[in-house]
Amino acid sequence: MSGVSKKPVEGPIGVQFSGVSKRYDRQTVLRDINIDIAERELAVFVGPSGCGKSTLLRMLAGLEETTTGTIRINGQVVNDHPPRERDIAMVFQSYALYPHMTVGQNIGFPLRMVGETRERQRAKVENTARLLGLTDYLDRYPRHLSGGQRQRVAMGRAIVRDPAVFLFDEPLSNLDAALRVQMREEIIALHRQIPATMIYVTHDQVEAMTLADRIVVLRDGHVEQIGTPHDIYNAPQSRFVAEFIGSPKINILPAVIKVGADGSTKVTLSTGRIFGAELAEQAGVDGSAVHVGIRPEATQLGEGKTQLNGTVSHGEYLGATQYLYVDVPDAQGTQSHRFITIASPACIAQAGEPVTVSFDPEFCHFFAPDGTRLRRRHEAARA
Amino acid sequence: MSWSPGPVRGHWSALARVILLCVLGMAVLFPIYWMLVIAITPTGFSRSLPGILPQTVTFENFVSLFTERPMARWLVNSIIVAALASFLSLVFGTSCGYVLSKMKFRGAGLVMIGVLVTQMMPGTSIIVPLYILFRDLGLLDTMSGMVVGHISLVVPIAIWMSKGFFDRIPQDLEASARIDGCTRLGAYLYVSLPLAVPGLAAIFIYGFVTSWHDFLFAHSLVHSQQLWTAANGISSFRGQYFTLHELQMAAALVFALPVIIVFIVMQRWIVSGAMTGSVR
Repeated sequence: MSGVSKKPVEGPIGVQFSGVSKRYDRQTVLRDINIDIAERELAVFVGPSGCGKSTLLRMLAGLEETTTGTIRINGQVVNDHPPRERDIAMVFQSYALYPHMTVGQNIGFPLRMVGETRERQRAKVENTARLLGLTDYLDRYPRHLSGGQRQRVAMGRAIVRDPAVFLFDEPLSNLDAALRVQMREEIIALHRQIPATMIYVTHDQVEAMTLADRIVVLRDGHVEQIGTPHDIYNAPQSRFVAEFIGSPKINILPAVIKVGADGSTKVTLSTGRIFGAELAEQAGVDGSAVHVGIRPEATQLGEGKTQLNGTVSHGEYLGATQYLYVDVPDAQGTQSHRFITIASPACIAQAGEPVTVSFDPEFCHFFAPDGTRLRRRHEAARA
Repeated sequence: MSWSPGPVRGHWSALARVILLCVLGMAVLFPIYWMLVIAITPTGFSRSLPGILPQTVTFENFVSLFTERPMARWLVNSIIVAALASFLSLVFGTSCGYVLSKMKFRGAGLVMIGVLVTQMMPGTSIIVPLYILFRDLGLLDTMSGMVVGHISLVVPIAIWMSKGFFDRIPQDLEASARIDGCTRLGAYLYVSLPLAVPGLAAIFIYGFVTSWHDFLFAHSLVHSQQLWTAANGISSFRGQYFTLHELQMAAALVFALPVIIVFIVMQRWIVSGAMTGSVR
């Protein structure tokens, strides 16, 4: 995929997937995955359900066999290593606590399995419990703990033996919203304290954006884009990435490119509005269809450089801000496009009220009909 | 005065429930009571009891069971056979059940159906081929032969039951154990097996009771009186022309005791909610 970042990782590589694929009978669920994750980096695999992100994590853990390709941890090929020989720890979505063991026994279980002495086990478990605020719960069983405490125990069991790589498989998805925010902060703090490579799988783009050093966006078993949260958000390499990352969702409008005699490129939106866009030459084929992406926060109510006229469908009041859903008719008036803009919470707009939404073409993203990003001239020059 | 139909209706339905439960309770418990009444009636007098209450109470039937008849030996034989058959069925059944539950392989479904099919044939239809097989293997009229026979009765259900129990143990728990340093066998021994204990206790009880109560196999595969189980022994009180009802009922009561003891001992392992807190 052209959108996949080829920029090499800085520093030593902690985890490397080289040409990795996975097949179940006749179904290919992952194909040609190439990802380099730096040591001590927190990489987030994000994508919709069924994109293969959890399977990729389980392959790294050794819980699923790798059909083709190579997986390396700290330079060592681990394809044929059982999970216990990979120097990894994993926090599961379901917590996976051993119900017949106390909190202390759960945290100490990996130490017991590697034959640590009782004294060292006790010291390490107590240290870990202190770090996670679990000291008072060491003698309790998982059934006596709240969801957040159980998740902390699962994290404690992961960090107690200083693994080379931490794997998190959607660890916060069973927690309520407030607890999720708190646990997210704790994971960030943990990453600062523990110098280990961390790989975090989620379908929640907010978790991905807030936690990641780098994000790996997966779709239908392949890598769609790898980059920092900033890159992913501001320079999505495909329409899919642009639509998947960002809340509220990016506005997409169909358009047609017109190349003038002087070489200048004009974009004609389906709404009839025309604006100039300096697309890279190879992309600017006269008459070709494109999709224009405009982030809601790059739009405003009222007049501006480029304007769209429509009627308010409904609003979502969020206290600090307000999302307005505006139906913008196309030039023929035969169909309309739903357009989201961010308005002041003080703004009172009734359903059906005509409004003008404007945006600066400078902040638009352009995508070819196959979904790939069409670069602007300055982007192409930088590359 | 306000009209209130609710409580009156509730009162009558509660009363009906109590009466129904009493009737059901009596239906269940009366045979046991009648066994006790006959067992404590002097030999030969049970047929002439005027009512449902015992006329003369005596324990001589219980005493003669152990002094004039080899009841103790029959009980010991039954305990050995039932304990061995249920324990070996447990070991074999849980191993198979675990593999069928946790390891995906072609033909697993067919194996499960095959195991179930063996339960669909009545014991009387397999006893003749089993007799011939045991005769050829030299297992006829031996304690080990009877144990093997009873294992064949218990194992199919043990496999099905244990598969059901292992199915309820989340895959993530074993995956977590393997990441935490266990081999596959270690994950089974440290995580799955302890969590399956309530199920194992139920399988053991089932196996013990099945073996304990078996009469067909015990009667067909063993002839020597010193190898008789209690089920064989109890049947010996029934003659061609008369039956020693009082002794038979006393033996039946004694026969029930070990099963009750096994159930009470094993019951504490059968706890609900063993998995609570492990996942979500």
